[in-house]
Amino acid sequence: MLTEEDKDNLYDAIIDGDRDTVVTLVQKAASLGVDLGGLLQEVMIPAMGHVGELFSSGEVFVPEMLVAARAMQGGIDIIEPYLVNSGHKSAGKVCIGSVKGDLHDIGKNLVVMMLRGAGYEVEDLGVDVRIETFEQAVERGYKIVCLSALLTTTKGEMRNVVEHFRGRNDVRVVVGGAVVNQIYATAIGADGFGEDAPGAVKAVRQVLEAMA
Amino acid sequence: MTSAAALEMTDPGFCAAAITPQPPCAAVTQIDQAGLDRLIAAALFRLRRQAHFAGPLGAGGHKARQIDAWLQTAAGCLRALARPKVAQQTLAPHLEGDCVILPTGTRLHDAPAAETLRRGGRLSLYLLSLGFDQRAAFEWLGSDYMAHHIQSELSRETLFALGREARARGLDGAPGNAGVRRIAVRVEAAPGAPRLWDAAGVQRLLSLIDDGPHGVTMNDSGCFQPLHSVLGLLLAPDRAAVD
Repeated sequence: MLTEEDKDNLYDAIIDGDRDTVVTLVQKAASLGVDLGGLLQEVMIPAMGHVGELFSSGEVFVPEMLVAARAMQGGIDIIEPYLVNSGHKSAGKVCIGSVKGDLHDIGKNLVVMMLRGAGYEVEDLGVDVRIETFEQAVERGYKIVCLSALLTTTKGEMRNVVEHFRGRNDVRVVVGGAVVNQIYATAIGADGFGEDAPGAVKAVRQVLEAMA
Repeated sequence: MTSAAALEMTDPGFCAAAITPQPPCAAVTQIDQAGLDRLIAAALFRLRRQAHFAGPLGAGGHKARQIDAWLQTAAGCLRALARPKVAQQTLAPHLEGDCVILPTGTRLHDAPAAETLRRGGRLSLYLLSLGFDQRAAFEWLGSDYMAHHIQSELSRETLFALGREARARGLDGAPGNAGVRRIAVRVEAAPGAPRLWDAAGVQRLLSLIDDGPHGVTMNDSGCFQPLHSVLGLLLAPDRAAVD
């Protein structure tokens, strides 16, 4: 068993971006036969969620969020093989890409990191992604489609993707990016909108909960 | 003014080369490794003092160590991949009242600019590029998303440093750049959408710089490839007037 103090330390270490401590504590948990899936859900994902809240409220900036994500990843790297072997299911399967014509990846990559830190299985489709590529990912089981755009000239492509999946009850589309807001997301019929990377994680969680 | 002044250009879709005599080729300057090192150093300095880096770096501890390590890795990535270059092309615009009409047909409603040009000023198009692809950077960084993000931030600052250095060294040919200013291209592609990026208009401007040596292209959405590239207009007053 990990002590409650160990769990507190793990939680704090992720927020603080202390990868060495995260790795040490997760290794300790693994050696003690602790339910690592439970540890991920109860301690690590909430810690990363707290980092997201700190970022959204302006208390920490991107570099600190990255350090926390790296610390989290140190723990996930240890936990992942155990989860695979135990048949543990991820929080959900998400595919993500910058829409056709948009070559920017900076915002999309932040969302990838935050989604992985929140326990989602993420397939990064890259930039300049065509509808057919999203479609193929959906066929592979990635039913949550996240779209990113940085340009006014490319956000229109989001509407095309949303239209493409309209009528598919098993697929949900979440949009975000510098040129997108809730009004636009609603106007094009997107299922969710993330105003920043932690917001995208929340939106994905909400659409998954609504689907359940 | 050149003979272009006599031409009417009302269709922005006109091919500029077909209607306006331009200088034969753009001057492209490749920045050498020492120059690149200088640019990266300037970019690192600026990045480190920005609040989102200065805070955690100043606090010390493992956060500072990790961020510093990423910055060094990002700098190494740029040193390995970046091939910065500056290109400049003098333009021969047409003037119509307060309006400056570029050889591509784009109309700039800018009375002071038109006046400066009437007084012998010079309008030039400049292109700055770091000359490397983000996909290559991601691969160089071992597909590390976090390091890649820091690299993107450092690249952006390095591009700005390239612009500052190019301007300081007389990008436009005006000593000391006295009186030189950038020209804002305001596009009103659709009513109520005045800030819509006019990709086709920028593509036409880019085509004025010979597409051989600079290696920068733009897709139909208006994204530069390589991503860290900037295209702009500079207006320099008549040198004699400055002197």
